[in-house]
Amino acid sequence: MEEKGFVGKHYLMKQAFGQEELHKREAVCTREDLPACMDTCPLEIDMRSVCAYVAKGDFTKAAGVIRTATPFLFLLSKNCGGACTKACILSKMGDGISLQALERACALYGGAGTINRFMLPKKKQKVAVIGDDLFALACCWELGKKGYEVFWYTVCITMEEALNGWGLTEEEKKLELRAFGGLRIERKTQEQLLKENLPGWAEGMDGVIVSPELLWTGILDGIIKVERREKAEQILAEARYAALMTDRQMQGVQIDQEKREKKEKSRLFVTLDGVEGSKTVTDIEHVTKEGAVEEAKRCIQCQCLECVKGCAYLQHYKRNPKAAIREIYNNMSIVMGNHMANGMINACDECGQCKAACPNGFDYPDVCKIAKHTMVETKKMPPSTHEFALLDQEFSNGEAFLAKAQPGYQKCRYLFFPGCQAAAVSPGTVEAAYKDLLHRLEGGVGLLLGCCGAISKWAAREDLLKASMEQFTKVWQKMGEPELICACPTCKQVFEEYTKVRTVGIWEVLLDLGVEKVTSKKVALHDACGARGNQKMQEDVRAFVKALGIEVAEVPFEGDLAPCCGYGGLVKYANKEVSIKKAKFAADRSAYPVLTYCMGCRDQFQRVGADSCHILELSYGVEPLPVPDLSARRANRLLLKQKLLKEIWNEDWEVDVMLPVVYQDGVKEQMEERMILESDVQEVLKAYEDSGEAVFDEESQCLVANYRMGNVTFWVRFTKNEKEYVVQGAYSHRMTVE
Amino acid sequence: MAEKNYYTIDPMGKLTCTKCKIALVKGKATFGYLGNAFPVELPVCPSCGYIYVPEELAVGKVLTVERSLEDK
Repeated sequence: MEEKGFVGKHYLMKQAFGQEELHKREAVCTREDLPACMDTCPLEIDMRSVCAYVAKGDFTKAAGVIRTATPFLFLLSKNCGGACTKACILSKMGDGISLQALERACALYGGAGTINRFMLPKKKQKVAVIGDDLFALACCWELGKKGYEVFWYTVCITMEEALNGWGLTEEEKKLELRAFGGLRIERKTQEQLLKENLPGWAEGMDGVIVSPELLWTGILDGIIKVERREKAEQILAEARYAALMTDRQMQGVQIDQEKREKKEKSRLFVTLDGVEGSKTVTDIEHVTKEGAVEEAKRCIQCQCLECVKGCAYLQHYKRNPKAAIREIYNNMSIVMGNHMANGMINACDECGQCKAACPNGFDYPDVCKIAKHTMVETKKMPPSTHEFALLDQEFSNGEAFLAKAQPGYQKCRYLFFPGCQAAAVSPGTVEAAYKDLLHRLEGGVGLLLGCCGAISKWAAREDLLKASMEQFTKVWQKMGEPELICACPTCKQVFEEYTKVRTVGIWEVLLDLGVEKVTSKKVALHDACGARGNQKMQEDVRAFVKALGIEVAEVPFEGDLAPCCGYGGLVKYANKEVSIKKAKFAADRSAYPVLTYCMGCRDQFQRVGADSCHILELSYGVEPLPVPDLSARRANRLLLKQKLLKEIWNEDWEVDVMLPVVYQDGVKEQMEERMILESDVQEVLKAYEDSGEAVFDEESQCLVANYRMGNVTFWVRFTKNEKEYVVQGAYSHRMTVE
Repeated sequence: MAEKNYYTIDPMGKLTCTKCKIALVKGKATFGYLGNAFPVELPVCPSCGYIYVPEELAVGKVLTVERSLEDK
């Protein structure tokens, strides 16, 4: 990465990667490659669009699509070889779309329609085309369309004459030639075309094209060599090539005639979910309007949806990763002005599903990750996006932090790390699991309640991640470098990535120790994003689940393709709407109850009303608690610490004595929405008690007090009686006011 | 030219400072965020200078401005 330093007075710039890398990354995606029909067609006619228009019954527009490639619609419809039909992906499971029939229908029912002309500005250069056949006529059109003045040397007395022999009626010829209107083509009719006249005709010309039908050899240097072809579409493609090369020559490009560029084969991957083979419903000779429409409706509009189909985030933003990374690149390049893609970048959970789903492994999450880091380094990360989550990490590794060796041990063989979410969402499970491990494992099992640092990793805060790792490593070393028993796939992944600690999933440990059958339920197992690419973890969890007696139902998007629950990447805090959509999408994949092996997923699913449960809740028979609000998530961690300290180490630990505060109906929901904690409200009330500063609002008969903590000012509307505070509302703002 | 105010609220005598026991009046204040400053007129205690930010302002205009400044 290149540090650009300060630009101007206030703007810190950093180029994460250059255009070259952007193009390289974009090229991994094949979505803009041609569908098979177009790829096979020598003229690359966009038959996918033709099908779309015909399916809507719009033959004129469909004919227009063909005419952008060639003016000879009728000719082609009667003479085309139809390689596209054989190449059509549907031909692998039934009949390919009869595109020749559709071409015919376009000619019959849309061929007389208006012709769109995209005229280029007139050019000064002149070009001679020599020949009497379709090739020569096509060259005239190609070059005339490019704005050149064309001199056509021919024995033909009319243009129609050049179209003889292709089975066209006079009326059809006239319709074809409408496309030549407005082009500067001057016919120079000759009695016969003789090779010796060529130097004379070429005089004063900037380019010359000679039809291969004339069979002239050893003609002037520099004239583009072309092949003699028989099929209509090939003749037209050869004419296009000759015109294109001559055009390049006239623009001063050196053409190496020995090396004719070969077209690269399309790499387009086609999503075929739910596609079934079918038979063609029309034939070329007797195509009717209705028949053509039905045939066109069979077209599946070949496209690659592998990344988008399983990701509620990409669906929400209506983006594909290829388009999105360009937006992100531009967003990173803005010095002054609005960063329109900030929201989109921060709503990606970096779960890696799209990358796993992409046939070529397009790495979209990596770009989002780079962008987030760049935003942090250039101080462009919106301060409100991750602050709440980062404060939660601080809380987990501060007030709620607990690191203890098993009583009676200085050093331990194992260290249990349940993860911050487990303690916040289901403290009973953590307690049961730890007590079970203490009871059944030998060599001492330490306990570490805290955050693994994933929050700072997702928030692109390297500094905080490092601090969190240092804090962890100290405890781990002091405890004799024990093996780390993780209850959360993400924690396990983070420790493996950033430390040298040996980790093991609790599901493996318990399976070794022996698992009792608890139920015979059938469930949908939701694979955590922390297990993506980790076949072993996915299999180990399934073995554990099987030992519990559970039957796992098949669900769409399993294993490496599992969608994120909407917690990952701190999306829950950065973009609530996307987070909920992700949770719903993931939960709705199956009608069975959802079993998770990450407490974050379990919490997300419960939030959207899905019947969900964590493997450890099931294993230890811990009844899932109702969804805890933000304050309860903190209180749960403190109370768990207090309880375990007392019960296992016989230590008393005082949780801050709370003021008697009650909340009016609806206030807690409002606080949850506004991400205000009960502890924030208590701080405001404490500050009021200390200073006596507040405002009395006559209208509502309420007191309103405020207190600024960190970057946020909290306000609480309340009434006070002898026994308690009654909170009527709470709100906050980040702006300072003075 | 008079100084521009982005927002004005007059308490109309309905708000009282509990510490000084006097009514808040319309007074000058400045909102600040990410290096930007916005002069406004808010209910202020004439004695201790306590500034009151009403809820509809905090969750309305202030939030909108915060969001747009964050994406600058």
